[in-house]
Amino acid sequence: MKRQVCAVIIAIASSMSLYAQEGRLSLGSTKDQKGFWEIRPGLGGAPRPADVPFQPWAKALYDYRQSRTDLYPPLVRCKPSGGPGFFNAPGFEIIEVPEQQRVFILNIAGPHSWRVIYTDGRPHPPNPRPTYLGHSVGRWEGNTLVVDTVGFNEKQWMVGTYPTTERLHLVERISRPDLKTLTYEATIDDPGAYTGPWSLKWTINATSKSQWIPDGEIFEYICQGDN
Amino acid sequence: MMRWTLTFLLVLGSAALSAQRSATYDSERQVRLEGAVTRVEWVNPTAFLFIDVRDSSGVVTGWAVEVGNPIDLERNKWTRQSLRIGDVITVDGAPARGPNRQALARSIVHKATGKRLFDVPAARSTGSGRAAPAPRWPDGQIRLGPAPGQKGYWAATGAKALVDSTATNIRMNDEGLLANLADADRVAPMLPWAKALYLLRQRTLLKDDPIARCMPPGGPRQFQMPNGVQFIEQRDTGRVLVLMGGGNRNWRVINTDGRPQGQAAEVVLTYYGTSVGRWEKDALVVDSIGYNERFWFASGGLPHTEALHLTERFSRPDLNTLKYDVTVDDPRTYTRPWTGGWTLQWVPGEDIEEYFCEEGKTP
Amino acid sequence: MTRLARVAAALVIGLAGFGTSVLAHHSFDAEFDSNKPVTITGVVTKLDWVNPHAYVYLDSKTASGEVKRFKVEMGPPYALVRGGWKRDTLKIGDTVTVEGAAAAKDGSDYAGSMPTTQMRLASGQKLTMR
Repeated sequence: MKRQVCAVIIAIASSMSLYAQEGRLSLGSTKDQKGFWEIRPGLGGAPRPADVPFQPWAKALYDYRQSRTDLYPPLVRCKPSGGPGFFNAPGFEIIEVPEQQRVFILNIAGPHSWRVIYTDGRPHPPNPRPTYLGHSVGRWEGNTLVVDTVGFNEKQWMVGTYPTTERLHLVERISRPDLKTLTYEATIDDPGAYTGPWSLKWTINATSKSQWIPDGEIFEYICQGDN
Repeated sequence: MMRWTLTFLLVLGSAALSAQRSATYDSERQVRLEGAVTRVEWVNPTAFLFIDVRDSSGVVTGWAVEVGNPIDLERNKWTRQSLRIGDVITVDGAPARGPNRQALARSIVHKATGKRLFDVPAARSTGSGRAAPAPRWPDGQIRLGPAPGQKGYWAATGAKALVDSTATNIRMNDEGLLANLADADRVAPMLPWAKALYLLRQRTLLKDDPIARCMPPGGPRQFQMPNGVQFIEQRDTGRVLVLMGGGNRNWRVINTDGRPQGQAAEVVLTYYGTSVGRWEKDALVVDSIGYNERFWFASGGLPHTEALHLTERFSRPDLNTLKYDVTVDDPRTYTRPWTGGWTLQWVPGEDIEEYFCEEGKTP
Repeated sequence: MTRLARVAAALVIGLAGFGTSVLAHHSFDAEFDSNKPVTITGVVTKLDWVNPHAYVYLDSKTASGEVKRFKVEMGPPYALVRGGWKRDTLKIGDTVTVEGAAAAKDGSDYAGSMPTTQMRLASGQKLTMR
């Protein structure tokens, strides 16, 4: 009898875990919970340079960028940036379109553009043309969207002043444990610039400067208009 | 001698050059260049090759050769590895106006093999000849996107000039440049100041088009750009998003949640306007106000002011066709409201490629 | 390079760039001192009716006759509209008084509107600026 009860409990638990998965919060706005993620500077989350496994040329470039207070990242001149650089102030929206097996991320500033993450199981193309945003494929691991991207160009400063190359293989993990919380972790695996992978993480929650803005709406800001 | 890095320009086979290209290159003349490749710049929106051309007296000059959009090149199996540094090629093309050693390639032949590296790239496939019905949502409403499990997007591959529908047979190139300036009166019912400005823009070959400075293609212009658009219909939350492949890969929001249109005196003036939309039978009707004046809202240099009020209609008579009609109501620019339109073609099975504007280069 | 862009750049270099934007979207308290309310009377030279903050520019004459160009950050347009603002409420050349804005911490001719900040228009009408 006990074994049967156990079997039933296990069966129910398994099916419930499916429901728990389906029942996870959307990463973005829904009919009942509209809003967007407002970003304020100081999201932080990068490791200290001492903890980053630079190759010597990359360290030299990093130091150079840090030393020049008059050297601005391309973002300030309205150039795009992929990966972590896409999540910039004043904010963004994440839009899941399961029917099309895609997740879109829209940013307000930067070039006011959109990332697409393909969740249809497709592989990366064998020789991707290097682009700002790269080629992103994604899958769900429980409540976390795991995004795998290759094919970045070298015209951008994606991770602040840390250099990246075309060999970058970026893995981002995004999850929303509750309505006001978004966790983000990016693993930089770039054998062109680093001797090993390293990560940055940030969290938006009820007490951080960056916030989920209930009923807030993304708006238009066009960088070229002011620069 | 200043060494130029040349990028490859691929002429897309169209007899009419783009406006920016018309201003840069002289299509009436032809130049033939032969030289060794010194550099390849494979960037959106145009790729460039650089070659060293040696003349009969042995003097070497660097030339920049524009070859076109890498996305189209790759469709035709041309990749950034197709040519190696040192390969000698023969280029036939249109030379740049003025003193610059630059040309827009019409054909490129690899000298050693005689292989023609490209001609006119094949036109994009726009789906089967049969007109399959448009996909619909379970409740019967037309889908502006792909059917579930499918992919695709909308491309403006056909005629796409914005011209008053009462006018017929106005000859105009892809960028809206009139073949005959006397037709200006028939393009749209312009007030005198607007017509004067329009003619100025036409006469100067649209060289001041803000698109060249990477300003956004607001209004109907976004549906005239290369690289396509797609619609994301968020029926639950009451929005339709337009995601653009052109311009600077921008997005625009159309609110379909039934909210009233904004007040003209209160809305923030933007490039893409403030839009509310609703379905009227099989057409999405979108009302937009609140445009700033820092962009050109249509190809060809048609003017507008902050008073611009657009009514766009999107319908999909079959799988492959998006019918786009727009009524232009700007009493400070035009003597009356007027309507124009064109169709976009479905590109099945493909995704919009990444394009970001690089200043000074044409989309 | 605009001042905002320089601020953005400084943030990039200091904070490894995360959350930076060309808007230099700031924390109010980092930029303004709520304990230092200022009153500015001046002539309107510009109103930027934009998201996420509107801005008004005033030419204000000091006692010595020097003209200072003040910039005052306001709330977002959708909030201002609720308080009775329109995009054309101010005309270039209007003389207005901003009461109780927070002075910029760096001493520049810049102030931020708090919920209590008000503008007295040329007509005598008062509107909140946030």
